[in-house]
Amino acid sequence: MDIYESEIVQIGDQAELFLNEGIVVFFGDNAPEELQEFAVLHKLNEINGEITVGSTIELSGAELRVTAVGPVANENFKNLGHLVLKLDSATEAALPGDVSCSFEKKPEVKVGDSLKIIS
Amino acid sequence: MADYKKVKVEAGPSGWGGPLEIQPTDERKYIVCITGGGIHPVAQKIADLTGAEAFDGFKSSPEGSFGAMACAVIDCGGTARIGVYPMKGVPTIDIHDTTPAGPLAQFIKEENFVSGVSEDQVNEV
Repeated sequence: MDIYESEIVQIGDQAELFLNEGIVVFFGDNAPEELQEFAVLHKLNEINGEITVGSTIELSGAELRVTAVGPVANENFKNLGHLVLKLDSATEAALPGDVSCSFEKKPEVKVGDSLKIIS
Repeated sequence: MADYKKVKVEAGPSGWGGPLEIQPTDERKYIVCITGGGIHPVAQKIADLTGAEAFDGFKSSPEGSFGAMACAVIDCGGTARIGVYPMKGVPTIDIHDTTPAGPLAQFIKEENFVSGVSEDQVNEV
């Protein structure tokens, strides 16, 4: 089942700070200006269901497998379109908002790329 | 000129940082809440006690941006918002139990950040 489908509409000037450490900080495109600078913005669409361990995230043509979900990650996603993807293959989320993923190819995120989350 | 009162915000039982004293001024007059779902009770209590205005920072940005914020109330899961507001010089209150982490961790200090905060940790000075 598709939990979410959207596209990347903007990448903030400072988002690289996070991307360089293998962290993609997503916010919906309604995020306040103050946060846009640091974020990868996706066009906010309807969210159907929750991200769980084993979910697949297709981002910029790369396939990521969810290995851990922090306790506030789904709540943040629903409330703010906010999602913190960590490409660290961790089996326990280091921080409460983390969605940790394993990957074969690291996504190179660009404006116009697609984001899809599948349960 | 408005007469704002000062409040003290302490870390919750499993929180980190602080205590912070929040003193709104004519310039920094908004208690900005960036949690989604409207004004969080912690932001409302700070607004009520100080006499400053609670502002839903997820719907819009206050005029003056970071420079108009007396403090920011967030529900950050530990990576992004936790660092953005301290970096921009805004005292930051996280309702979740977080500690400095992420690429912006260097900006998060006990003097500008407090976590694990519920209404009980917000009191008049």
